[in-house]
Amino acid sequence: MERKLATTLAVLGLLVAACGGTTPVAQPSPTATATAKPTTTESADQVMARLYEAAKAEGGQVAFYSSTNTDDAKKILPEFEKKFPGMKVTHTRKSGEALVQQLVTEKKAGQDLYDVVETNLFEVAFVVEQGYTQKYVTASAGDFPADARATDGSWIAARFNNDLPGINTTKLPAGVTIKTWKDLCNPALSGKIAVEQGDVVVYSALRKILGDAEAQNVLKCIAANKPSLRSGHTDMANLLAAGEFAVTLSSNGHRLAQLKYEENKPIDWAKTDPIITDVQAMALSNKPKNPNGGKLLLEWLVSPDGQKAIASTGRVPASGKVPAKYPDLYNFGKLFFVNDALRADFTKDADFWRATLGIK
Amino acid sequence: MAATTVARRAGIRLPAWRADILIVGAAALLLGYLTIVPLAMLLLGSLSSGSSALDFRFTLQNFQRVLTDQASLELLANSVMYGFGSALLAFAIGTGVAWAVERSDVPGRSIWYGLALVPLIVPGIVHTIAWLFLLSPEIGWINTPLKALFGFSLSVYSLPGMIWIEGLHTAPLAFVLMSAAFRTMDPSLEEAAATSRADPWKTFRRITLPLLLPTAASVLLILFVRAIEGFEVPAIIGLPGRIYVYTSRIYTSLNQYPPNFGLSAAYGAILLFISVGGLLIHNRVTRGSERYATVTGKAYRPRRVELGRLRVIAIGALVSYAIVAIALPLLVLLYASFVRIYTVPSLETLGELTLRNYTFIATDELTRRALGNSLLLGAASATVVVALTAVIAWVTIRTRLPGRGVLDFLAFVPITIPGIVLGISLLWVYFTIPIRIYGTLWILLVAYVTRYLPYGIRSASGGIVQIHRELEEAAAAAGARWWPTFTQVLLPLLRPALIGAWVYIFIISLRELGSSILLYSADSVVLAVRIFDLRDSGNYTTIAALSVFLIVLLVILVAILQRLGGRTVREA
Repeated sequence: MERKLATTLAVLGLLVAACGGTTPVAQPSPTATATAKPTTTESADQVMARLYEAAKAEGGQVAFYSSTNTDDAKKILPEFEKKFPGMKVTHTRKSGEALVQQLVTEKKAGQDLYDVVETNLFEVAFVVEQGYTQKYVTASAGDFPADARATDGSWIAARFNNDLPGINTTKLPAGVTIKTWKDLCNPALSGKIAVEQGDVVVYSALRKILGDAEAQNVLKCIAANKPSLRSGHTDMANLLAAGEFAVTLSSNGHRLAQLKYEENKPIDWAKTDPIITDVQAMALSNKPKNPNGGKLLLEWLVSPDGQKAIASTGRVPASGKVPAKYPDLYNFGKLFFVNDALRADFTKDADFWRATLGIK
Repeated sequence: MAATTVARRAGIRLPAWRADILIVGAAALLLGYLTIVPLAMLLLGSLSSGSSALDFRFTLQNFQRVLTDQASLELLANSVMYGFGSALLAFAIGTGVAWAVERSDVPGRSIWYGLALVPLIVPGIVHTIAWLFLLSPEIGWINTPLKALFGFSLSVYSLPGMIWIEGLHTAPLAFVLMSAAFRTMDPSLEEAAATSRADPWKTFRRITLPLLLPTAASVLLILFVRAIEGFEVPAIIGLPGRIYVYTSRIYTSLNQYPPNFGLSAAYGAILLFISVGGLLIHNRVTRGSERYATVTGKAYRPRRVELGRLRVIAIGALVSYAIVAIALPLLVLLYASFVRIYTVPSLETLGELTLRNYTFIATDELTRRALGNSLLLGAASATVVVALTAVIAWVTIRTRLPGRGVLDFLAFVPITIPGIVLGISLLWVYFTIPIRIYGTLWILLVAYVTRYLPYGIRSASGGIVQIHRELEEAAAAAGARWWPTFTQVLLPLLRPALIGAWVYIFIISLRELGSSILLYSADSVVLAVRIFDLRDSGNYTTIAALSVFLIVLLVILVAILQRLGGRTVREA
């Protein structure tokens, strides 16, 4: 009864927030000053030192459910294990929807297998709403912009995904340029577009950026170009680089940059303004198997060391104190942060998205 | 009492009531837990708006959505077309190759026989990904020259593309079943036609074809049921192309946000009805086939058709089949396993070959864990199934204990349950029963044992039927109790059948994806799931390396087991 009441209040809260935020507003950049204060007076290093000792005593394990792809996780997580010898992170990698399915299934089956979950804000907010997480304010929370964390400690983001239309420069038909989402309506791109089928959030953001009618028109005309529906952004970006399609509605900027600068593939991205910035939120399990290990990983990922490790992969760190490796992923427009308020219309947006693109 | 008499005759010195309770009761409980409970939970889940069977709140909303949804007819049509299309293609290829090998004078028959079986070893997910590399619209090996030369390409992301891949993968099954039919066919009617001066075509049309019809119908139904319960092709090829069938719809209804467990159970129930229906028709067809008694178990030596000048065409067709079904998929996987990011082969990419993907799979902890888990689960499920079904087969064949028919039925029921339906059913079981095994190897063991019970029971029953009961009676007369008789007399005689079943279950366990994909966690990941997850991460070249490794591993395992088991394994 209490849970139902809490859920109802939460939904009402979201609705109120959504009603008050219909105007597209470009949010502050990652360098914006944060105001929230951590709940502890210890420094981040002191907190981690304390948690490290406790984490070792509980077995030195962390179960990390994250949408970070395997290649990048293999660069980031060993840094954590190097800094804290004896700690071992088990990374379960899935896309946002699949991760939520796994986590919800586990919880319904009475299993508590994860310590920290990290994926798109929409999905993490849903998990928070179900009561499967607990609040935890990290010592470095003050370094993060307001859009990158919940003030009550429900979640915090260690990184952002810049959702940009990706381009294979050798496959783009002659005379076609992509500067904004509307350019994807060009009939010359028929059969040459790919869409990640779980990207409802992009449509939700476009509704705020372009307005309802225009966003619907854009999605309809993209659908008329018969896009290939993909599952997984890294998969889609790799196939873009291989030449399977000419453009994508929305690829993760860091993967496009990796392919362009590190793999020398003929890749570019549309310089949209604003830039849809998908917040990748993290939350601590309500019943973690390794509570101290989970907190330690959370603390480290948002600490300067963790943020540098994230930045080293080309991903955009959420902290204002660590610069991204590829500034040309976000230096051409205002950032439009995906926020929890957008989620209020999720069902409606998802229905329109699926119906328009033919997703059953 | 009949049971007491039989138990005494079989040397059981335990009081009869205890034998009844211990053997039939325990087996029935276990089989009921493995088969009836998941199916009951599936139905409850599909009819409930609650979160478990204990929280049952009746609703028809899920079925209403499944049956009245605008897309439901399309879903049914896609599933049926995909199932029949794949079955027909597999049947045509398998029957053609089987006829050439068994009934024609084409040279090198044993080589073609071996080659036709090779694709059976390749897991479905590996085969599907190989064809993704071959038939991707823009970057596929086959499409690139087609586009350059003729300006068009074949899209793999289409219903014909799905049918092609599934049909090609199940063709070896049709080959095995049809070559057995050709081999055991009484040639006297064909010979009579020949002496009556009927030409070969007329003989085939009027004699051979009608004789083969019951077997052909049976094989087609098996292929149909197998196709509609498959998950790999619908997930990897169908989803990007918006071609939905029941298995992919079950998966997407779970993987949408928020997951809809009731809806996926309703889709699962519909797929189960179709699968059960297909097998009931199959049983009906095969039950009436005794009147076509020319295809029997007798060792006939059928007359081989002399091909004459057509021999070149037959050899050409067999070579083409070997290239398309074996050489091309293996070559494309091998190439992709040595590049960083998959692209069409060029001088540039050939100059950048790397071992990075093999280094990845050798050092990746999850992949190593998946390999260990797969081998462990394969061995454990094969052992449990063989042990359990040996006892059940003994009860059903050697005793007159009440309820023995039910045991046989329960052990065979899972043949109708598609892997992904079993997965969603087990989710509902463990949402309800407070046994905390979801996400562990135990739930996968439960799923695998359930799935492979039918193979075990058929093998063990077939073996026991061939052993005369007088051997056991002799042991009993010499004073042996039931257990020594069972272990020292019956089991050694049953060994070939049991080893055959063990090897078969072990091999197919290593490829299982349908139920594992819904039941695993990081700790219990298995090889097929690891490949599926790497695909989601876009690591196609790593998948290629893992696929090459898996094929090599399976070939080595089959070779070792064949050496250990000798003729038995080859027959299995």
